[in-house]
Amino acid sequence: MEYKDYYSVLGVDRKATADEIKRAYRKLARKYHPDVSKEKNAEDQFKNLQEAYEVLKDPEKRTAYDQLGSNWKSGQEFRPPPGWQGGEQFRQARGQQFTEEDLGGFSDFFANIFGARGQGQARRGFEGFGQFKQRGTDQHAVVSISLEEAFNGSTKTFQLQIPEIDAASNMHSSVRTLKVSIPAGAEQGQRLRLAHQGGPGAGGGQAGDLYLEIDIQPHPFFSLQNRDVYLTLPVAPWEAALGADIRVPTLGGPVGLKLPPGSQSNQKMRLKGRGMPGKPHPGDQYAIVQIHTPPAKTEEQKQVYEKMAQTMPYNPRKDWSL
Amino acid sequence: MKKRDIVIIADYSSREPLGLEELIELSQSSPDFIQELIEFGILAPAPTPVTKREFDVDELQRIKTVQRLQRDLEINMAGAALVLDLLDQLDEMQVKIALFEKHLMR
Repeated sequence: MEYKDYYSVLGVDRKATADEIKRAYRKLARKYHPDVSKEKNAEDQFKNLQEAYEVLKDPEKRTAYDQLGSNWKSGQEFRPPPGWQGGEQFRQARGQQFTEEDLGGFSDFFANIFGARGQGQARRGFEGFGQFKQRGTDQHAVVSISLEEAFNGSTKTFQLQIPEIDAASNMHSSVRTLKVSIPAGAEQGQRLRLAHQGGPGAGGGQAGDLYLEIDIQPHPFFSLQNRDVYLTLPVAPWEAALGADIRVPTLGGPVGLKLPPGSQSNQKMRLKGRGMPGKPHPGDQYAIVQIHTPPAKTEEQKQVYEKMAQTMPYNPRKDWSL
Repeated sequence: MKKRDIVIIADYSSREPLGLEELIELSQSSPDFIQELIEFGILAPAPTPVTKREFDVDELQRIKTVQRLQRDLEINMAGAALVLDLLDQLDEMQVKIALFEKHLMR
């Protein structure tokens, strides 16, 4: 098992006061709280943080931890010193103390120093506490789909690891096949609850639930805002100036778009009802005009631009009055 | 390993709403707590008596978020409501920024 440096997790000195530890914890808790954090691995970081604080805020646990000495490095292979009794003195309190289901398991290191928990959670119900009944943990899975699949609807099949308890009350995970029907017009982040398909309960408790969440993958051309679809529409200067009929891709297939004369870059052209399907009405598609300037490579091409400058004097910076 | 053949069928078009009792059970909360969430605007107000109201899974997740914020960050209900509002705004802004970067800033 790996040694955990709780002081470095909280970024405090080994001699830090209780107040300093609390302040450091609060600050980092705001940074890594999985509900608000945009940091990578926020969940793991937050778990680590809670484990560190669980030990360092409690004078008894902190003393026991300090007794391991300060020569250990984080991640170093750790074996408790000979005659280590730490686990025993904390074992009694564990029943009430650590029952928060969505804390998940603390590390093996923590379990070894301060008494087991974590993977023992389900087993505890069968052994120690006769009356103990616990609901299984909720499981979460992301259903990743393409924008086309969200538009057309789709059926996705994938494999899922779900914890299970066998006859000998050992926890292990089993593979289950999940077949998900997704209707046309599925939305980003949409959740589905599958009752009692999560982790198994203990001591006769019900199984937890399985939550699915739709994640629509980014598309090379289209983007999504609610039910509206956005597309960049590259046009040539003469198309923008004179107007043009342009075939434009939409999720439902190509449609004709009438670009009016005198169009400018960043102008939004609306294709009504060509966005994502939905009630009471489907979204729209917006084509954002983007004028591309053809490079003037040959002498003749340069002359065309020069002729333009002469024939239609135009100052795009007239507002600057320099 | 056993039973490789369990197939779970899930259908997004048959999303079933949650009743008040179920919502309370799943969030391990209380009717008073739900009432408070409604008063702070975290859940939409009940047009009918709250006992007859139906909730969706996203509302259940909101409740769980409030509970975690209260537990982990010692935030009170007004603060949690504010955090949720700001998170919604943040999400919207991120979608807009992504749009802007993809289609306008080239």
